[in-house]
Amino acid sequence: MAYGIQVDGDDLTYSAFSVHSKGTVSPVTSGTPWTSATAIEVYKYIQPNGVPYTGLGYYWDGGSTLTHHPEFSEFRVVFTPIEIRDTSEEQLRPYANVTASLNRIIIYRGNSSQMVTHQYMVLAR
Amino acid sequence: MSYTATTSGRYGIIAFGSDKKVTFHSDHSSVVYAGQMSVPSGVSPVQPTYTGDYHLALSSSLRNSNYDMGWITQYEITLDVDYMVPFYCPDHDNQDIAIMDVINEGTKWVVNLLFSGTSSQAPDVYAFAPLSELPSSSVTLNDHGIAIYDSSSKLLFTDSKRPLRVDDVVTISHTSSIKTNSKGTCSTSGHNTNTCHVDFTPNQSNTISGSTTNSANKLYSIVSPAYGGLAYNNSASGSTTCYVIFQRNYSWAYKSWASFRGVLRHPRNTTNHIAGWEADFAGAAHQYWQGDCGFGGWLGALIGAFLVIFTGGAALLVISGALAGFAIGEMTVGTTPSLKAYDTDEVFDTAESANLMITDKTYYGIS
Repeated sequence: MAYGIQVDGDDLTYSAFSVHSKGTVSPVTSGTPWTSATAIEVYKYIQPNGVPYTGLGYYWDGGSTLTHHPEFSEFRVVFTPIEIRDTSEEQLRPYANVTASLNRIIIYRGNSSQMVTHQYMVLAR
Repeated sequence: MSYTATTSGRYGIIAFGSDKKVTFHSDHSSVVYAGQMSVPSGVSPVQPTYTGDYHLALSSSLRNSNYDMGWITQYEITLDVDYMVPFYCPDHDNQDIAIMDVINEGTKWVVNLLFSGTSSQAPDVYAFAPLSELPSSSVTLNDHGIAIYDSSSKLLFTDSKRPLRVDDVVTISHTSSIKTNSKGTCSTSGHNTNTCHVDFTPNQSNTISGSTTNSANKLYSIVSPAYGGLAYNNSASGSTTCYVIFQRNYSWAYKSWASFRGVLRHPRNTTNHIAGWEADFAGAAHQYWQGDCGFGGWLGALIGAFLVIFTGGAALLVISGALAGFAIGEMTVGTTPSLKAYDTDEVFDTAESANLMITDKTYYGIS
């Protein structure tokens, strides 16, 4: 190995995902179409049939700190449900858009009749 | 609206791979292999079918040929973490797999999974979790090498737990329909038995090309959002002659359906991933009724009552019964898959794509 780190005889020449942030994506409660939780995420209301409502735009919670991570060049969001999805209720899963140019991740979620609680991890490398 | 930008990594250590992306970071926990999930004792893969009133039995061959049914099974692991990511390793080439549910009950994690093939060909499932969340008792540090802690003394990286090394991330989306070709017809009338079945075999899929070649060692992680169903209905009524001069009125109705999950297939020696559909629940029913031989006796009221048992909550009760042999041992009602019965063709949660992560067993010493 010409340079870098070697552990137990293995060259650590590869990248690996670390947990940038993590949290819970709960359904939107009645009358609240969006909520922001941390600096890198914004929730957006999911309309029935999975079609995002485009009229709300993206919201950032007033007073939040926008964290800058120049060392990371790739972000991925992993959603893990923690309870049964009731298909008879036609439930949806949350989803995320990664806006690389702005280093922002937007997490979309449904209301209480459309989804169950999920966990999310923002993985970065 | 304005924001204050802060930058992490003012101190500490960051390592980069040859792809110029981060390998480990002293502010953020690595994700590590936490253990193989196992099928609970007494649990066997199932192909649940409707067995309620007026049902038509679906033989093993019919479930495969006409309903494209997979097998549902369940895995569990005791892991005292708040976050877990499941990866599966297909049992064989071209196996269709969908992680249906992930459930957290205290320190137990449960995965419901649908797979194609035979009941003995369940894939292996492995759990990954943030290293910072693993109990110290489950991490044995080497007496040499490297260990990185954050300011809260949480272990973020150690050479004794290899980090999640992802070979490829592929954006997966499923088709907006399950089947577009003909299902065929079942139109027998005037008979009080029916052995006909239409063909629900899907013909829609997306092939997505990645950059990593699939092999027997690859592990895949995606909780598929897509699901839906196909349905078929037919009915008729009429009259037949009896005792030469009299009429006997009759009515019949036929209904069948299959509930599908969005599955993924990873053909080996290619970089392709095929997003298709596999059924997790199916049913068929036929109801026939005839009146007495006479001049009248029309059956309008009975016709209106035909097959109403298949909608709404009643079907769920039937489904719960179908899974009765499945929900045993450590499992509870709360971890039993939810299976929807369908009256029409429809799909759900196909509008957005999901990330498929690919890694390799060899990175973690998994044999």
